[in-house]
Amino acid sequence: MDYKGDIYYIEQVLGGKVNAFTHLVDRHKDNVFNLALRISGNREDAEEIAQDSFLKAYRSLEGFKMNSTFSTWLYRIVYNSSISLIRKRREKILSIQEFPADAADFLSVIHDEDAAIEEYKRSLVAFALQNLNEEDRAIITLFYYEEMDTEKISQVTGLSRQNVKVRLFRARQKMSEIIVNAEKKNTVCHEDK
Amino acid sequence: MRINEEMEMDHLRDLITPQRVEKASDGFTDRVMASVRLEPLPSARRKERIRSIVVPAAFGLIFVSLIIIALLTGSSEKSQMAVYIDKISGVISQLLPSRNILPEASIPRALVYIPLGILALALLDSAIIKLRRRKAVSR
Repeated sequence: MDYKGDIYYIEQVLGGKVNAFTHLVDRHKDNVFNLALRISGNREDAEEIAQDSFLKAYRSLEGFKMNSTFSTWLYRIVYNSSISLIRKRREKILSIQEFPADAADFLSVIHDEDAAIEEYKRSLVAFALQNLNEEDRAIITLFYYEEMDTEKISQVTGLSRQNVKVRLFRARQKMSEIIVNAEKKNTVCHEDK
Repeated sequence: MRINEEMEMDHLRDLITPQRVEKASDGFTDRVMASVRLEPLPSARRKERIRSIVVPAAFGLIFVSLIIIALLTGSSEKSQMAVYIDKISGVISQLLPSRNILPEASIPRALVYIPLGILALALLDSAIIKLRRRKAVSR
């Protein structure tokens, strides 16, 4: 079935056709889940955040002013839900201190060299991302994975555009440090072996 | 300017591939919709929100008016306003069952109406809550 656009289904829902909300969920669920997953770092929390975000969106659908896109508005809800869930559970989350593997370990499991290096790089970035605080993690996710510009990130997070730029700059520096340190450690360990 | 320069020389972008590898689990939409169907309709929510503001505001207004009336009608020198309010209070007092108990209400006597008013409002409030709950269950 052709998707008739977010606004069409929003108007249907507001007109009393609850089932029209199914189209909005189907359309945006993967993006919402991905964003929640990257900010929270685990599937269970991401699932909870994603469900909760859709429910919050339904409850406040009347408040959607249509001066931004539905996805930006929805991302803002996901961002706020993720941050508040992480803060609630902060004491339970243990930060990962050391990157557990090096490129050679990946190569022993994935025999194709290019694929192993790709997987190693992906894991290294994921490790660095998980070691950022939740707000920086969200900003990095929105910028790199969701490919949003600073203006859109500002709309989602509620931070000023300049503040987004500053935080992005610092988060990126921190990520680079984490990646460089993890690689240095792995090189030393590899030489010791 | 350092930030803008840094943005242009972005090394992290080489490491990050914006692929959407993760998908929401099977039955995600059904689970969301099951929760959504338990929620009141957006239009019903709007009515409820208006009601939740208008009803207490109306009763609050009546309550405050009753206190003002009670204070003004007991005054020895009645202003034109007090006379007018007295007329209204006369009409209201016709409706009050305690009219026969306190036939000539003055300020201190009229104050007796306040706890009665609070009690009446509390009873009305609990009745409305029960009615709403019953409606929600039947829905």
